[in-house]
Amino acid sequence: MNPPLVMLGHGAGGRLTRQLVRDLFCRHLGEAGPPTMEDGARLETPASAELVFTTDSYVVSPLEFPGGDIGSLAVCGTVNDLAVMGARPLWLSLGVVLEAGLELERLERIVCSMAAKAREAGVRIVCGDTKVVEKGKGDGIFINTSGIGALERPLLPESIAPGDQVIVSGTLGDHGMALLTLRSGFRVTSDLRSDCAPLNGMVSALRSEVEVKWMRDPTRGGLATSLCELVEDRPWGVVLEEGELPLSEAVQGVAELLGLDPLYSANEGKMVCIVPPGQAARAVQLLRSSPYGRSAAVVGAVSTAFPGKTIVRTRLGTSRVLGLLSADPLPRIC
Amino acid sequence: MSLLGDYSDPDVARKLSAAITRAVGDRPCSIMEVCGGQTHTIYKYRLRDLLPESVRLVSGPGCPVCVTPIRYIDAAVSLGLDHGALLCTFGDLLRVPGTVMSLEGAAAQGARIEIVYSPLQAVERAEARPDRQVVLLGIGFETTLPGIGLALLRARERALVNFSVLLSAKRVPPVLDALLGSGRAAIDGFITPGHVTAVIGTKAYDGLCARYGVPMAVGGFEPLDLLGAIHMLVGELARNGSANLNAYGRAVSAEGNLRAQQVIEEVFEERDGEFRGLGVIPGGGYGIRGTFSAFDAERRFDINVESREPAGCRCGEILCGILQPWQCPLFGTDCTPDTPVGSCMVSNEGACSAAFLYGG
Repeated sequence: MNPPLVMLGHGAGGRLTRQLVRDLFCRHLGEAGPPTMEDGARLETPASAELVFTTDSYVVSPLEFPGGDIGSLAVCGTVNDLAVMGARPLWLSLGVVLEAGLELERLERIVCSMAAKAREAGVRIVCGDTKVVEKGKGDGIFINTSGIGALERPLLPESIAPGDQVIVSGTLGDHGMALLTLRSGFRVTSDLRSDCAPLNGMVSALRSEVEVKWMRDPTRGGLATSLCELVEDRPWGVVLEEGELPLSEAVQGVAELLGLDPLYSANEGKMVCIVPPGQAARAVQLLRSSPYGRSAAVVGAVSTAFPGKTIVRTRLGTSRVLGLLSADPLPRIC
Repeated sequence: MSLLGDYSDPDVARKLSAAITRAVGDRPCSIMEVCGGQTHTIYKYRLRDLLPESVRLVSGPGCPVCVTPIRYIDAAVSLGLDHGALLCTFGDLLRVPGTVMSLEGAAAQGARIEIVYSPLQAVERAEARPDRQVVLLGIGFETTLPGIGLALLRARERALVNFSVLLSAKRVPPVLDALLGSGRAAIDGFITPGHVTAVIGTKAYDGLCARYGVPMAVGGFEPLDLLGAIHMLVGELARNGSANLNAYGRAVSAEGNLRAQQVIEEVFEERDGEFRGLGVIPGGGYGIRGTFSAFDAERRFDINVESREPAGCRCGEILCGILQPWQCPLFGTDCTPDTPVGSCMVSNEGACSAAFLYGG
């Protein structure tokens, strides 16, 4: 028997739509899903809190990959955007565009992994929408999540000063390199996995003791892009120590093979932050006590020697500038 | 030895750097790294900072994307848009500007373009899509040619009628010959390309060293490989020698890779080669042999394009080592990685792209 598929009828607003929403989405999301089936969610805002609101759309091929899938990505990505803004993530909305022909079983797996990540992050998906497009007009599934969080303490990038330390929460480039390897069709056996994870718990533990002046989740464009954006037009720059950057052997190997720089490769479960020099050691300790920060490390410092620039000091003691890439890095021919 | 650490050992690098400085003395010399991959390493590790000022490094013509003529891009764009072919390409060819548009531009207009990492993947695509003409954009030097040859052998073995190759293949020794023969670049020694030489063997340069009295040394792609090659070359220059040396012995032999040479010989034949910016170099390229002509995209399709090099672009002189990237009037102003005018600004093996990204 053929596996049941998403049909155009699932998006028509009738009984099939109700079935899909109630029996698939709501059933698996459970208490992480919407409390009612109304047209909108009523939210009880925390007293006197400033809110942070963010949105992100997710298109990824393949839909499922080692370490995650488009569902976990859609929850973690938006949760992490809120967390690195200094907010406690509270609610998400979920917009899903399905392509007719997608296996329902596959969709079920993706919704289950959304539910698991939402539960882990302690956020609730309070409203949602599904649409179905004809076969050939989508890429299986597109997801948009918007998120609202309560601002706990704003970050203070203006207070960044020379000598402040740059810390990353773990190995760099894992998500980008894992997906690129899958897409390349290379038949390499490697333990490359996406690092997709919700970081709000780790961030909150860090901020309970350490004065974090700035943080970011270095997704598309990687660590290099996040830092280049930070230092732009500042009277200081960042100097990274190449030898201190945590990189897995698998990522280094694939990066060499494809001629790509892991510093420009996406992360989905890492954060980079800037803290005062006296608190760096404690910050690393706190990060390492989280399952997502095991290989956290101080990787560089803020310096006035190179204003507006991100510099890498190579193992050889020479220095090079990290610039913004114009678009995706392209794999080299040889 | 670990590729990822040992070939960039700082202590060894310092020792090599000191030894190079001693050997050079106050005699200035210009050394050309022929291959774009070597250029990339030199910029990435800022190896210039480890060399005395008297050693000038000059980027050479060995970046396959950079030397691909503009007509080739135009032909590929036409195959994708006018002939509806599914194009399989190496990634860094995508943004090379053609007369009217790049392949990325053609994709935005509906051409079907897929990135492959091995030529054999293009054959697999052709087998999977019997309803489409699949064209492999086969560019490169002797390094990529055996892979393209294997793809053609497999396509013939499987009697595929929907697979062909648009070839722009180049040979390193003739282009070095042309460079030396022109006398314009004033190069004292060459770091010959590691991967190309792994295929053709160091013997391919014996004649050039003897004829022009210039030393050569094969270089790999890690920082110590390149410092090692420079060390060999400055030593040889100090002796006024012109030996054909090998600083990449772990990958390169005098004879080269015989099996790869056999594949090249079976599928391709030497022809004149057109290089972007350098013009036609006698014997500088390869064509697809008549026995494989059924798989030659130039024969399968009626390709009609009119090509024009961009005005003001100095890629040709940069590829010959006559100009450094920042000496081109377009560098960093009209020509940037966002708006490349010339091909040298596109591939991250290109001298201009490397100089822009990592700072001159």
